[in-house]
Amino acid sequence: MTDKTNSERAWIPAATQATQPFFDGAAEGKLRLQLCSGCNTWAYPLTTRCANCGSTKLQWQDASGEGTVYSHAKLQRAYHPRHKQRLPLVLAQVDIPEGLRLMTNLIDVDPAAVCVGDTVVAAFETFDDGGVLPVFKKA
Amino acid sequence: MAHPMSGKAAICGLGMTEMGRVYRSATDLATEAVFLALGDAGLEKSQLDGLLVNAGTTRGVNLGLHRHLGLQELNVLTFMQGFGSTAGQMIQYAAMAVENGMADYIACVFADDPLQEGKRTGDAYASGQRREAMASLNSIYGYAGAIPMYAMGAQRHMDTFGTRQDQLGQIAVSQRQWAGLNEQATKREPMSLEDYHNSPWVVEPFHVLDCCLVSNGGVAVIVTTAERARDLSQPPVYIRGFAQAHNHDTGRSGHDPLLQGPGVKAGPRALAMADAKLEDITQCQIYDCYTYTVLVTLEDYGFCKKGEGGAFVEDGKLGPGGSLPTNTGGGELSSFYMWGMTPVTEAVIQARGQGGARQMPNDLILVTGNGGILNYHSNLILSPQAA
Ligand SMILES: [Zn+2]
Repeated sequence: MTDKTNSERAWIPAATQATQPFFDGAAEGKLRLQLCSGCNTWAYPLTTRCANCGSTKLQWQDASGEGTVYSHAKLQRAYHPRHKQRLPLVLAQVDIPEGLRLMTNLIDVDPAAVCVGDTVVAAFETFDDGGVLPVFKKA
Repeated sequence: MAHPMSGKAAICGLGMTEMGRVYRSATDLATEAVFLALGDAGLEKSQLDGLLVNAGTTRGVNLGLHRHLGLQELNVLTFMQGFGSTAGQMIQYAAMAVENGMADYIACVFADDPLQEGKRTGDAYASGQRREAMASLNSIYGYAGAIPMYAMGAQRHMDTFGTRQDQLGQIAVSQRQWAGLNEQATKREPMSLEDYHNSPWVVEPFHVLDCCLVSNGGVAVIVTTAERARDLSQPPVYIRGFAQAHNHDTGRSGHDPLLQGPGVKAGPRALAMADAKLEDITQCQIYDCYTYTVLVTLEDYGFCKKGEGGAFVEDGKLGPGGSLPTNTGGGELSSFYMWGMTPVTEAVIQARGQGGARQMPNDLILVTGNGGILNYHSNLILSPQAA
């Protein structure tokens, strides 16, 4: 990617009607995910059918925002304009009490001090263009 | 007792094109690989009546390969995709087909052409596509390709069991030592643990030298019955055992897919088919997209206990002079990256006794293939002996 392309590109592209609630939730400081009314199983990423019971009755609900680090790594090369001033960027898979494992980032943390099992909470990163990205930070 | 299918089919032909910065299309490379395999086996093209095709990263070869080969009548033909597990799978399905009389000679083909002239290696897999917000999140979070997930597997292993960077590095160093003995390997210059530590990070804990190469090339192997293989040009490589196992990572908490792959299930099944014990395996050709893949696969197969892979590899036992010769051509880390065909090609060379300076005891060779993030798994147990 060239810098020219980057400046022309919003950090998060436009959401569709189906995915908008996730980003609306983030803008309100909530980790908003889908919950199946059929079997009470949470779903992420966005789906139209519950992988557990097959129901299409999925509703947007706010998750607790709590989590535990399943694993982590440090991105050392930028692949997206957001990464450039953030290297090393802490990649983390976070287990949330809702039963999901989220692929996310940890922010405001010493990358050398992250460990499997760390307790984390949802946080929200606001970009210059107004986009808001759900992430996590140490509790 | 071995399974009735054990040793009844064999690999009779091997075709390998030039590997690396070979700026030709995947279809052209695949076509050449099939002709090379036919020549290697001593077969005429008209004898080939089966074709299984697997495309790599660029999806540059497809079912239409039979037209490029001018194969007018085939009894078996399909395109398959199980990522790094496909090479082993193609050979498994070909073995079952020839044993059951569906076809006589089946070519299993893989080719890829990610390297483009004038483009850097690091850009080979990059995609400039603009996507919808939700779909773009993974790249915004920094999850590009498979490296971050495997790096997180290695990190979880380190945090959980105390595995050290040196131990991952030793896998890369051992394989580079093998590559030094293989004229077909891309990276042959000597490499020390210090070189490993000094190589740039990609996604920490992975240095560049923890990651497989990016290669253009094509490979074909021809599978036939054990009986037919005995009348051809090359020593038969008997297919003594095989299995598959696949894990769907549900994205849900409460399971541990990065510390244990489906090899834990596929290993005992293949050994049972071959009526062999793990101790009977004389060398391993293990799918090594990353150093960590080797470590976790050795544990999954039971060469050491879960969590002890680091200590197991640390003394260099995988390298030349070691007690468990592994990836003796240099593997995907140092020879070339043809997905699951990399371990297959080296196993065929070793089983035939054609390894030259790197030839190792070859009574029973374990070959593994791995795709996704430790999701898709196939294996083969190959041998110069039918039983
Ligand atoms: Zn449900």
